[in-house]
Amino acid sequence: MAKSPLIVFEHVTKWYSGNVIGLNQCSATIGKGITGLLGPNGAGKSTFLKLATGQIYPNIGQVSIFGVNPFANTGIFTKVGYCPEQDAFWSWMTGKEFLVNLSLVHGFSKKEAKDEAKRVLEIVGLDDARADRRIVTYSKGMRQRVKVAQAMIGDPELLILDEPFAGADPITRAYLGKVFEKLKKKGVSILISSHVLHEVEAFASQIKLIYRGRLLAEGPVKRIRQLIYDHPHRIFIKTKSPRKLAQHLIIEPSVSSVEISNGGKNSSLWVLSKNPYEFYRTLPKILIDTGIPVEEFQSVDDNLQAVFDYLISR
Amino acid sequence: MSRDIVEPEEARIYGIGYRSWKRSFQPNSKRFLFLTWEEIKLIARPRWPLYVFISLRLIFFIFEVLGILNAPPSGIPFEQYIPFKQFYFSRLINSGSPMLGLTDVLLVFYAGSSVLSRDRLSGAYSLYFSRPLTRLEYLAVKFSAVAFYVLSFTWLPAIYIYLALGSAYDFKPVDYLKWEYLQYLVAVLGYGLLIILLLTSFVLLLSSYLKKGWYVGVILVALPIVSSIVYSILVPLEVQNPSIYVGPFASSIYILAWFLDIDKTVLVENFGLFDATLITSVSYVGSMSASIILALIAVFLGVLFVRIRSLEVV
Repeated sequence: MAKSPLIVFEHVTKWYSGNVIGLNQCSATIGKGITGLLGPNGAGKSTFLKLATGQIYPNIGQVSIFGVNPFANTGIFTKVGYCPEQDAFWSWMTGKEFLVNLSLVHGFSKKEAKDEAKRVLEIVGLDDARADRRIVTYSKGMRQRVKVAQAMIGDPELLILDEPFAGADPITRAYLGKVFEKLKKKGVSILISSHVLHEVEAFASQIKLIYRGRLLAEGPVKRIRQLIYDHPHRIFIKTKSPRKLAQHLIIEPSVSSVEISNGGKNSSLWVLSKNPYEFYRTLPKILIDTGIPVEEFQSVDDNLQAVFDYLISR
Repeated sequence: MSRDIVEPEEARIYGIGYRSWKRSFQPNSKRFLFLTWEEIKLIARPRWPLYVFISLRLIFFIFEVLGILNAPPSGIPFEQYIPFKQFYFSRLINSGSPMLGLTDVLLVFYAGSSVLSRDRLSGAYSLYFSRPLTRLEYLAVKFSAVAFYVLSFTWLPAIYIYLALGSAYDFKPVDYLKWEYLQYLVAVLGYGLLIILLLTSFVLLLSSYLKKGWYVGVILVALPIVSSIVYSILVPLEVQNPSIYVGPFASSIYILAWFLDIDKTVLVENFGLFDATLITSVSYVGSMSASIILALIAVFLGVLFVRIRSLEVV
């Protein structure tokens, strides 16, 4: 298999109005396989992905994808699927209608568009009655699934996914993780951004660390993981039954401490874990066993921040 | 206490991989028609404005029929009244502006003022611009949808006045299709098309820059007011052909008169257009004004295209 890179950034700098630097003298190549783009919020990950997909253009430097300049070059999207970070839906539609419409925008005929919507819904596990519900009624996890599904329309060779796990429940995270693993086995290349390593380490072969608009480190996932897991990991869980969930969590060996904030209806938990990989594997089981509903779940990037601080101070 | 490791439900993958579509996508023209229709449905989705516009048209229709029946002084048959084209012209300009009056400005404002800003604010740009759909195609879809929606209302009075007049002049069914009369309907429809294309391109251009739809409304209302103020200054100064200098809002009546081949003296004597004494000829002012409008449409669309072409999806 040829090793020609899919995406090439050459000394790319991007700034926004108000002298905000999005990306600073960034040179990088993204090859085939799965690449994780890691960095805390505001690091420049979305800027990187928007530049790669031609949603924005660089002020300095050059970007190419499949050998062409992507800006306003929508021809690349016969090969590339893009999942934006922000919610972008026609929320009055059902999930199925939304995907059928986007398939039609893609260029499929009506019959093919229906088949294509069905196919991508099956991939993300929404091929049931939920697909016929209006998107406005969807949970965050379901929205994320639909967003990922729309990126898969047209069977792209390269998927560019901007924080596909953000705000998703643990079950959706695990499910999508399995989907990406399978895609990898099928030969689809994926560039996926996240601010938490564990989200991508199961299937990413390469990691690029980005911080304050600069590419800080890159390499095999094992090395990066070792670097990051030396630091404690904080997880935020929003639930209506924080105390009940805390009781079950605190006995887990992977959990160092549990803190409950705001004892009212909108309570939340802060969990500190020394073994996040283990924690993320056991959490879904706890939630299923206890039936405790989780409204929001986020891995905060404090641990990653610590790694960045370490890398910068070296 | 030990727990089992939870494996998420198995992901299903159907045909994902380096699969290239053997089938070609449907022709761009079909996709264009589909997207335009979808956009029209989107514009017409809030039902109450649709009902308001339809009601206004029906009210105008009733007034028109009454106006036509009562137009000739009693005892004078229609055949001996003014010529058909003059009567048609008079109904279009003297009966509370059933065509290209305030309702049509409101229609363009309603249909077009937020058509681009809505996509920008809802994040739909990232959905459209991550598909194999060129930005020119996107713009053509938006423009056609707004223009078609507005024209369907704008042309309606031109058609029902034509039919009502034909009935008053004792047309046989075949007479309606005779070029001798049909040319006037075509001329009026062409006039409507010209003005609506101008308004649509102007409103879409504003919509691409302005964040809120009602800003567009303010400009739409302000322009004719400013035009008429300037015009009222130029007329007492006896500047020749003043409407050409003021622009489309003041000169459109001469375009219609030119299209219907109405003489300058008729305009002054029968319609009380004393300003017409200042014009060189109806055809000169009409053709100049139509040329200016065509040039403006080209400029507005050109700027709009450059704007959308260089737009960043931030």
